Amino acid sequence: MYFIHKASSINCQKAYQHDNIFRDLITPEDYLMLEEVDYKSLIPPAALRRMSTILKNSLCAAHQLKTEQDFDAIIVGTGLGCLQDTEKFLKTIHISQTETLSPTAFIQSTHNTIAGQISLALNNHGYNMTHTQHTFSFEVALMDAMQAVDDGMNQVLLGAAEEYIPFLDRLSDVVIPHDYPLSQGVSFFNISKTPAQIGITSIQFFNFKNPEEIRKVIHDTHADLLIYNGAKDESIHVKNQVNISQFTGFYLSNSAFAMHVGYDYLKNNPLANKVIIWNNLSQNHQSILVIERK
Amino acid sequence: MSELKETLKAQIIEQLNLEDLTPADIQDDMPLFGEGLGLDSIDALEFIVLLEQFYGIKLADPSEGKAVFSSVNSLAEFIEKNKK
Amino acid sequence: MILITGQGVISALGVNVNENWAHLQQEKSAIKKGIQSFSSPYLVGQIELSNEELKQLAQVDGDYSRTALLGMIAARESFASHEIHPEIRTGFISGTSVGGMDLTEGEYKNYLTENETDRLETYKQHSSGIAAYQIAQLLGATDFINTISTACSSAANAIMLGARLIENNQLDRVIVGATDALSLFTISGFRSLMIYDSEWCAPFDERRKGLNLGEGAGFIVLESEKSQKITQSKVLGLLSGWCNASDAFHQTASSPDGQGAVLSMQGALKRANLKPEQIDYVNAHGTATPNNDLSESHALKQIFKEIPPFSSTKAYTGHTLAASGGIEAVFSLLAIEHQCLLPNLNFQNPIEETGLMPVQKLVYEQNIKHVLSNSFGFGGNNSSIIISKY
Repeated sequence: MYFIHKASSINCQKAYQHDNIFRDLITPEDYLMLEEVDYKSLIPPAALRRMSTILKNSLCAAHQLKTEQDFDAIIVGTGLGCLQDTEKFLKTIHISQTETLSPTAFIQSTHNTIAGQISLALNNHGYNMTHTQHTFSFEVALMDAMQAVDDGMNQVLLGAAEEYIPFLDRLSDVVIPHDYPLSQGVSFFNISKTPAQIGITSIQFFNFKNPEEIRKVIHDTHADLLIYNGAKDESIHVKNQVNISQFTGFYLSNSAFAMHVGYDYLKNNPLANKVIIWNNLSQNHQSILVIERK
Repeated sequence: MSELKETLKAQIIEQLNLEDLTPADIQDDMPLFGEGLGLDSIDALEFIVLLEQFYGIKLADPSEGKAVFSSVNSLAEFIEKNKK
Repeated sequence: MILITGQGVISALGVNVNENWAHLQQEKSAIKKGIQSFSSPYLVGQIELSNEELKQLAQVDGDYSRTALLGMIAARESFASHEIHPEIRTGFISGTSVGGMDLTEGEYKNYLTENETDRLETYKQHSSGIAAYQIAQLLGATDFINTISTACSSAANAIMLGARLIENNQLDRVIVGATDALSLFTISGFRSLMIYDSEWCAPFDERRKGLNLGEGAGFIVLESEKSQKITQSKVLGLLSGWCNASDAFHQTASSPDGQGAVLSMQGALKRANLKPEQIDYVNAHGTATPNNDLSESHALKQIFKEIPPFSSTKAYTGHTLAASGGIEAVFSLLAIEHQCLLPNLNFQNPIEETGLMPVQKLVYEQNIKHVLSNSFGFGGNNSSIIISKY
């Protein structure tokens, strides 16, 4: 069994250090306005001075979730990774007139900077993994976290992180069709086999599958709440439905925040037992994640 | 020389993202690495870029940098000697 | 037991396993002056085919990054003797360091310096997971699709995840490895770190100055015994051990004592239930940077009382970043198949501090049962796998 012990998110909602974000979801005026977190209280200035938004937020979330025991695994999913530093280094290589190039942006441009920086900050020598699978980036990381628990790792830090840069707006219509404004966010979780109230029951992937097959699985699950992030499907009859993108804006791993919301919902509604997180951002690649009261 | 040192301090703050510092916080003889300002090996590479960008000085071998970058004094001396 | 039942590789040494093996036997580096405008000032391990030529080789048409095309060619070769089967859950796990950057960087230049004349469609290939979707669809291996991005250890980590998914009965068969094309972005990146050698790289040599980058892809097929009974595929070897550990020392540099590397090698040996003295050959990470080779040498000395024959094959291919662990997994299988030790080219003098002597000549008629392959990435991401004779 895979139990969720704690969740921490930073995006345009007020979810950080909040214990019932489901109840307090608001439609934001500005999807890009991140919740303010006191970075300086958690990250040493020597490290902080170089960090992009995605790194600062991921580190704060990780710090909030750290326990007395070291994590056995740190597993992060990200669709587009550290875009701020990637773009900065692209500018450096195309514009710089000097033979020597500033290395800092390159160093922090790789996807695994996030998980790597967490391991550095926590002085952690355990399993350290970074997944990137477009709209599935959180779900494949979650799959790895479940394997890690099955392999006997008991303290798993699982997260997803995404960063916005203004350049993405240029690609809005052509490359990334979306119904809600582009945005960003991070969500992290403690996953463990040590029993807790809420756990992950299953994750199913549907690559190039018939939508009917997916609808059937959703209906057969009999969930109290369905959280999805793509287009609404009128033929799905689940009474309580939430489109998480309405609250987070569009980013590739916002289904991780959906799990945070579903977790808070179950925690605070004793009569509810089951939540489906349906990642339907992409037509060809969808997943169904079920979390449940145990 | 003292003017160069003040310019250098401002450039160091800018290039190394030391936003919380002002030039007054960096003393001329303060060790920049380790105990003093606490800079690291990535900063050493940034110093090499700084030298080329602002003073046209190329340092081909990063290991040469250790002595040159030890303080604002040593940097200023090196620049005076090698400036084109 | 995790069986290896397929292999595919494309590198500067050749476009398939046979070409790579033939070139390995010549004991000559494939690293040359770059032929593309961005690579021409540097020594690189490039595949001398244009993207159009790669498309013909991959038998595809349309918009693909070079990273995706290289991946298609190697993954398809690895899966050539396989078929999709309704009872066999088949997945695909790739790795890449910068995904579609080979296309993005060119368009972005048009954006920056040519009045925003960039073709926006091109950026569709940027997201690092896109190539895996394309390759998986080509092979029909769609039960699970995933991409690992842990810089230079990506392929080793993809191999490891595949093995764990089979062990935990999530999949029956999985194609695992990684792909990376040369790009201005990565060449500039390693130049900015001042570890790009302007001469031919010399792994484990005292005078080593840094790496030469390369490009390529390497994939192997992992299969459960149950699945292999159905597919009847030829077994090339076993994946007997794997481990990933974090060095947690520095963003780019390895710790002087190689703690992360020691942990990953120890973990892989433990998982394989082998003693260090049972390792017959180590395909080292050996990037030829001053820091990596020293740190890895110290780690080897901590693991092995008597250092087994070891070499870095990066002087042949260049450092292919994410792909290196996949390409080197195929080289490890070749070492087992041909019972030989692969040489560490360009070696003259051992590192003074450690004194380790790598294999310098291709030697046959060895007794090779277990090969340890190391892959260490940025951010202290250290992985080791062990491939054993079947």
